[in-house]
Amino acid sequence: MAAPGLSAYLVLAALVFAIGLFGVLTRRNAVGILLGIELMLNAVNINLVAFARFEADLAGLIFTLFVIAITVAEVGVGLAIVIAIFRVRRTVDADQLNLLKG
Amino acid sequence: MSVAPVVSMFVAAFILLNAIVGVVTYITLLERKFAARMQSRIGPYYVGWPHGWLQPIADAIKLMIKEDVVPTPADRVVYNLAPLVFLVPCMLIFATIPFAPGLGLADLNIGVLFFLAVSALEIVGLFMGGWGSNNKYALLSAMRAVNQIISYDLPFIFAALVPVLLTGSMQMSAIVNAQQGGAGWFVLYPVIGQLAFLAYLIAALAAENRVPFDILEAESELVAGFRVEYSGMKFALIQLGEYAHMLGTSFLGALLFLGGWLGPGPAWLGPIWFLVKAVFVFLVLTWVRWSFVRIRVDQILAISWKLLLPATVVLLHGGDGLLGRALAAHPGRQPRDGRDLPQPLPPTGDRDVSGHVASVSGPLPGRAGARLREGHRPGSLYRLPAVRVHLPAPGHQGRDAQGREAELRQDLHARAVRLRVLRAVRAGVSDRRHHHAQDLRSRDERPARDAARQGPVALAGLRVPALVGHRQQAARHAGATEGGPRREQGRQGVTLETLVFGLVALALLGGSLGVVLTPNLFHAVLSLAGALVATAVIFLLLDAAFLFAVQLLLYAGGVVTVLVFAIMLTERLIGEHITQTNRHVVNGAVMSVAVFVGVAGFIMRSNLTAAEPAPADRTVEIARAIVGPFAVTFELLGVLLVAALLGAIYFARTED
Repeated sequence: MAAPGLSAYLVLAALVFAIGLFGVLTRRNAVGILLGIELMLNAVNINLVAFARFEADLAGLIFTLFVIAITVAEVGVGLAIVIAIFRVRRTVDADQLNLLKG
Repeated sequence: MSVAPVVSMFVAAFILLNAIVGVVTYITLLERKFAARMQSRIGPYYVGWPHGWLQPIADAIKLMIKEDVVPTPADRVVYNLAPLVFLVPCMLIFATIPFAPGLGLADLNIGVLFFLAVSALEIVGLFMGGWGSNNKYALLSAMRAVNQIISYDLPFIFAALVPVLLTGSMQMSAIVNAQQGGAGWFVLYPVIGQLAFLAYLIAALAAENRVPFDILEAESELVAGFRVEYSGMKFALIQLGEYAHMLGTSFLGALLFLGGWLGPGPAWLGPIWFLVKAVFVFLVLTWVRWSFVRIRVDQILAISWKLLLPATVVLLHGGDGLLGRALAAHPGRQPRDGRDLPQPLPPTGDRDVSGHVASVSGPLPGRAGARLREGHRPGSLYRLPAVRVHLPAPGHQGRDAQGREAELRQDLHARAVRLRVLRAVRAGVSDRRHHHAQDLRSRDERPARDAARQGPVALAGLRVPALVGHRQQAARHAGATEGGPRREQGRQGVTLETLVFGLVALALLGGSLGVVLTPNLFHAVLSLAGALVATAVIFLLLDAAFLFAVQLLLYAGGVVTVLVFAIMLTERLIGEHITQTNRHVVNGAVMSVAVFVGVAGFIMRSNLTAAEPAPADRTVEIARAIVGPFAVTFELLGVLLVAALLGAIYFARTED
């Protein structure tokens, strides 16, 4: 078999994305949900870089940079919110954060 | 497929590792002797004559035969893995340091960034040890470490980037070469050099947790910090990692500011000069360590955020703009003026006729860094020199056009070979000479009228990536039509890449599953760190070395650390014994599988034929694109980050 081609990377990224989605949907802990989101963004990054490599397009690399930077911002704000919620409610269980439920 | 380069790399790495371990062992003796001298003692004296020179060996043997204690409440896996995770980055940082011209494992063109990125991973092992020990002192130490290292990463990086800006290259050998001649060492540059070196030393002290900043192993409060529970060989590994990191930082400081291997005497003295300078930096740090007292946590954080960070940002700007102008007029530097603006492909060949041998400036290894520097003027970071070909004297233009072309081709071929070696080293894959030979050939054989229209300079299109834009498309099509089938032939042999890809993919999937399936949230974060590092390696396989470094630095070093911090602050109510998944497990699984099947089916059905693979190294292109077509987006990103920072502070701050 020759070197892994574009589709190998894409399938790998799709797997990671699905796993991350599973984490987001099933974790109870809010921090765990953030972990799942990290995985999903990471999978997207793999896709972008793979396309940039195999299609000789620079935009993929630039966008990966942007995604990484935005992820950092997202984690910072997300965790700050989690900590703030934890201070008020003494829990980080996403199932119990249902004040807005009718 | 050729295995020889890989094997020789392994041998070289083995030799380097052992050399480092040897030097590190003896640097501990040096430190003890130095400290003893400062305190009017003798220091180690009796083991080995004269002056206890066998003491480090005796210490190592003692540590190896000591009992290995694992505390009962410890998290065994994390506890046992921590020393290794701590040690590996500390050793990896030596991979890009050249100890003399050509004497080093891999002189990457993003060498400094690689060093900084890998050394940022050290923190992972540190908080693994602190958390895994399940000891209050260790845990407190880990929390302090997260605080301190996040705070000092930025000033450290910024201070290290000042020489990079002065050079115009992140390649370590280019940085050393730029310090040649005159008052060349960057530490001797007026004002900015000394200030940057000072900032580097302070940030290094903090990054190494040396005394004024050693709150995370403060003996009087935390016994021994995160390694309080470690004994025997594991303690030795942590100790080794710490000193190796210290030595690596000293080497980097010597390279960035003190001219690396430059010094009087014959060339073979180079590595010795380098070692002497590194030991000098090490001794300065040690001197500070034995002279000052520990300061408080809030003081440490204040120094970083209120003093060092703004100061290094100003220095960075100074290095590029204001003082860069003074440097340009510095004796020993050639002043640059408007005429020497880097020119994108001059229309005819008779403008750049300076050099005797044809040479190319552009993102190529070898003299590339020096060439980049040559185009350096205030602000020229934003206008990196485009490809220029210097052709021999104009008088001979008519006579030996053929000869010059042959010469040029020979030179470019040599560069392509070097590039190939670098790539092979970086990607850990077998060489790809076929590809480069392919590219050279296919573009050399371009129709003659092309060459006629653009003059001899058109050859500069060889191997050098075009700018973003329409020319990109043209290059892709050209490659696709010419190099398609032959490229496939060249790919047949590459099985090592497949092997590496398979291993990394397994690691990535394992890490991802760990993230979503482990009940213990701390283990999940560690799995995430593993998955992120595996992704970084995948970026490396995809020829995106710059993103590899960014991924390690921001993601694995930053995000994971922040996540651990959040767990430490919130974990109390949700422990290992409570189920970690909500009642939607089945739904979630079905949903995820459906998404995967949909996407995978889409991928399989779409006819993905790989077009022209991108050129090997695109760091310079990325830099150009960020300040060119993507400049506005980049600025917006900065605004977003500031907003996020303010938001995070607003949310997380308690009312006081």
